[in-house]
Amino acid sequence: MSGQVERPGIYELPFGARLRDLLELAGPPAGLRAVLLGGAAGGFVRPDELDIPLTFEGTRAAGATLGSGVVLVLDDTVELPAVLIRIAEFFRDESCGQCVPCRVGTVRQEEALHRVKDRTGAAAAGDIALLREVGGAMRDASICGLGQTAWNAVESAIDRLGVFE
Amino acid sequence: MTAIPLQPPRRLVEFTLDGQETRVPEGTTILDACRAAGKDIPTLCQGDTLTPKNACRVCVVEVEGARVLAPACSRRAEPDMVVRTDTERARHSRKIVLELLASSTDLSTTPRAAEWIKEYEAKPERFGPDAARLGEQPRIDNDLYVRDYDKCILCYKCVDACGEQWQNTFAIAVAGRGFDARISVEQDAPLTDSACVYCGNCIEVCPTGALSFKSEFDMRAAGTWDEESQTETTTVCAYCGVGCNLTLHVQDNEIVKVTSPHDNPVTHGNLCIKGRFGYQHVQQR
Repeated sequence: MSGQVERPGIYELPFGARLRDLLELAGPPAGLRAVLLGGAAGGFVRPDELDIPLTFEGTRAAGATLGSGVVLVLDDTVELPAVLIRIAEFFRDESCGQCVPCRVGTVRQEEALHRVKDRTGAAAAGDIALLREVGGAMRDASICGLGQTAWNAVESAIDRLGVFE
Repeated sequence: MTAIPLQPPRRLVEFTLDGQETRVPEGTTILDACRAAGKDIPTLCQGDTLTPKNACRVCVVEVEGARVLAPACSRRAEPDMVVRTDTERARHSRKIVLELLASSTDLSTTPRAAEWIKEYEAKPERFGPDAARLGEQPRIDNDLYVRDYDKCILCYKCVDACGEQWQNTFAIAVAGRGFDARISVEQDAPLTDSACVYCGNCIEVCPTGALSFKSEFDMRAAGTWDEESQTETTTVCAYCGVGCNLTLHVQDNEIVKVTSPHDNPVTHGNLCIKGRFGYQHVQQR
């Protein structure tokens, strides 16, 4: 449990506890904006989705993932595009370089996020379409899980949080 | 006597390829099955004399029930598998792979790259003028061959040909990670200070022209390289008793490059420094 909670740290809860229960234990921020569930390769969920049960099945049914078990909490003072750039930078850095979709795709993803970070709506649409196309190929054609999940968090920020709307 | 390698009989595997019931010997890759059926799947890191690292991902196909696409060059046909080679999903990934490569790498001497880019409607320029490129300069540190890593797609073929799959010299490997990964000799030294034995078997398998004869590199730079006018003559190497086949590429009565037939059952396209580069005496006039 990390990010903007009062008591970040390691929490051990029985399977089936809800995301809300975990947040209550850690002390949620006043203006909750988003929770990144599952680490950098996971996905964002909204403040109105805190009833998601923290099980493999429950998160999957909600279109999210438990992933590494990391729960990163962000409040409404955070610049989400900057968080996405940090995540994209992580994947670009971690790519081993063996396959093309991940080796070059993670670079193109980071470049596109730098271009759209201050844009919304129609001004961002072109690069978001590009991110979607590159992300799809990374997910489908990369050799390993790193490349296959390198666009998860960005995709969920766009589709679930509406970050560039 | 014709040397045809005999293999133990193999069972046939039945699977569905683009809606057609297909039977291939057990162990056949999807790519081989496609080619036998007359389908043209693009490939870069696959070579006829090597086991591919399936690194380029340009040959991906859709296997029913699989979460992700499969590289046709490496995935073997399995009983009752349902494979589709031309779905929107597979074509999309091939297009993006071509765009990612063409926007970062110089594909000007990669055979068929331009044709595939057109076929898949890839638009590498859409990543913008600031898209990161490899930005490598040709390494000219010996008289025999040039390493132009601006053209390198990191297919691993040269590494495998130099190392465990053929030559067992292990002069080169991949150094660095991610976008900064490059093919390199130890300590990134000049080739002349490395373990390289100049067999040129890496040039033989390079799919992009990143590795080329110094003669070809110089002629391309001078604008005199004219593949159309070249003849190819296969002969027997005159150096030792092994009898390797040499294919001499001749332009204007000069040998400009030497390759070796990949279907030779003994050498499989491999040569040593003498056969590959030792042809100057032929041209002493």
